[in-house]
Amino acid sequence: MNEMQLTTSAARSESAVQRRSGSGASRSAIIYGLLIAGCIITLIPFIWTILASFKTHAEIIDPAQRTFLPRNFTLQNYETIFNDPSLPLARFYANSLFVALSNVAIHTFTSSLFGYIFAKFEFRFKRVLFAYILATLMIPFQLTMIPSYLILLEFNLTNNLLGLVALSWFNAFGIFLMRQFMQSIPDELLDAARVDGASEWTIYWRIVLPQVLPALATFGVLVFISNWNAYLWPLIVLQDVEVRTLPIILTWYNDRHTSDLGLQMAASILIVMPILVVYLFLQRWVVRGFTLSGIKG
Amino acid sequence: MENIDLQAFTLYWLVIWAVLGSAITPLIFDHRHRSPWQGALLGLVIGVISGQLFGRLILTLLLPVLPAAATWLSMLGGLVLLLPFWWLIKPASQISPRHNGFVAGTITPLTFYLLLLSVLPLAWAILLAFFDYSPRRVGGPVLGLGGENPFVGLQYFQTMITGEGRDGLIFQNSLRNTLVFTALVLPLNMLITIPLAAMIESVHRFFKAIFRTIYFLPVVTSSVGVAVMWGYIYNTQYGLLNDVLGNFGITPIGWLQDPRANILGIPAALLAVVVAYLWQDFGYNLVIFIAALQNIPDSLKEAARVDGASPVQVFRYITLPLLRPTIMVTSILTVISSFQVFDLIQVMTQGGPGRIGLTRVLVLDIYENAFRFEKMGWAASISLAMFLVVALLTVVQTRVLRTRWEY
Repeated sequence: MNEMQLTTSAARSESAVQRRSGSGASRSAIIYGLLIAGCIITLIPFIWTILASFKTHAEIIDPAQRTFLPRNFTLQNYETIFNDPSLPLARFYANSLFVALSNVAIHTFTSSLFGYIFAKFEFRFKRVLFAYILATLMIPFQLTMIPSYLILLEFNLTNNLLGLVALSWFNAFGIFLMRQFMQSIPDELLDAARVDGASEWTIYWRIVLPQVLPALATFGVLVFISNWNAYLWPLIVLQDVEVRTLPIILTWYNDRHTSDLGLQMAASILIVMPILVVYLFLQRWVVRGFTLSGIKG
Repeated sequence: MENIDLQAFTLYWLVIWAVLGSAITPLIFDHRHRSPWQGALLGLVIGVISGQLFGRLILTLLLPVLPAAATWLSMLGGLVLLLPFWWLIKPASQISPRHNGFVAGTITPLTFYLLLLSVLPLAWAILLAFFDYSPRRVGGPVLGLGGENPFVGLQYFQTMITGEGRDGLIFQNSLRNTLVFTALVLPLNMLITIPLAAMIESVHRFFKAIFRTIYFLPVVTSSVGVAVMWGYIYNTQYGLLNDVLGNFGITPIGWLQDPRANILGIPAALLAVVVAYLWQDFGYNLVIFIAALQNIPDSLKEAARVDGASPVQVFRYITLPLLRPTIMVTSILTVISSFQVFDLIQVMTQGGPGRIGLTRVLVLDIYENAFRFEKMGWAASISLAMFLVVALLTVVQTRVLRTRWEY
């Protein structure tokens, strides 16, 4: 409703400006032109990669045969990848999915729980604890990366997918974000449930959680994407090929096929596309999540 | 016993029983009118001891008999002492008002975690910066420091400042590259995203959604994927860029390989990485600016328009000043993230070309020193220095871009 009012008033003032300057149509044509040009620049690397993945090797390397669209459309690159016994793709998808989903489960649970506690309860040292959690947001991961690796080494969890899960129970940003949302839950609602004899865990699970579910889902999507795309930490922790996640597999695979660009592009399409498809379906939530992280973080 | 990974199990037992012990005990204490915080601490200690002791015992005893179930049953070690403890704890003689076992039962595991896996690594990282440390050497009793991993004092920081030796030279080069990278990324990013956001904001709502969706695609793309795609575009013989330039008669340029190629004195490889980084990253600031523009009251812009301001004037004198708080946040975030650039560079150039590495950045230096050359003390001191530089830059940006008004 509000948005509609804004649009109509914008349209009205727009037309007022147009009457005065008379250049409104040409200006909006320029704006659309620039925006479409921007879209083309944004999409070209994807399109170029996708097209290359369907080209034959000869077509890619021979300047005389090189065109933007594939001349001889081929699925050879994909067939090579799917039939490569040294590249059990399903396993790597499963690895990435395991790491990403475990972290989503852990972080959505702990962030909502502690967001709730920091929003709605009073206890000693609450301020100190919360200030510390906020302070950890400022500390770059590279600083604690070496000791974190040494801890994993001590417990022999390097080279183990659990190493990417076992040490990260909490997400400072998530706790902070969820606390913001929890503050808007009316205390009367919680007190009413307490009077009815509900336990605190029941209140959290049955009353608080449903209230913040959309925000929590947005946060969950964010955690999923960042874990799915993570590179540096998995690169350090996972050394054996069979426990690796997709981004490290992509560089490993490409290092072994440096001369075959078509193959490399097909591999990167296979690894990049799943998350893009997820994004296109959930784009509203994804964008909102990133916007929140920028404004609040 | 050999094929069982005892060290990893030690961690599992620790985690499970620290959490369960300190989460459940306060609820029971609360129920019996005792202090839940006391319960949480007791539960933590008893749970950890019992989990370690009986976990190990169960595993050793059962492994020869029931190899499949032994590992799982060993996870129950904490119950051996906790169950009798929970059972035996007496209700307090005088009925005190009920405290909140829920808070004690959740905050205690959180504090335990923060101490063990956040405060400790942080302190450890700072300590490492003063030791010549490698995980392969036998060190002293505390965190492996001392012994064959000797204390070196401020030597690393001296090396960084003087740039002595190979390490110092490479560090200063990495710092310079990182600063140049950031100095290029920040203004270019702002110059792209702010006008683009204003343009997107001005188009019809239907197209706005489409443009935003497309512009955001690179942000969710894995940076390794981005690096591979752009590596192909920059490819000297087969890349799209040289093909296009070839049409204008420009001879192929070794964008990522040729150490001599440069534009206005800036190495071509560094520029190539900057462009790829901008391409991947601009959608992030873009959506933040779009959200910020939506929050600016339309009445302000309209008032200026009624007063006869042109669209460019409205943008310059109304929109831009009102965006200042958002510009502060985005520029801080952009500096922090571009200081941490690693994925693109590690995949596209490995820090090359050239002998000292024209695209070698700080995180790459940290990574290689820590995990390839196992000079973890040196790597830790670089990461500490990096943290200090970023913190300093953040303070400066906050000062420069701070506003004292609201709308």
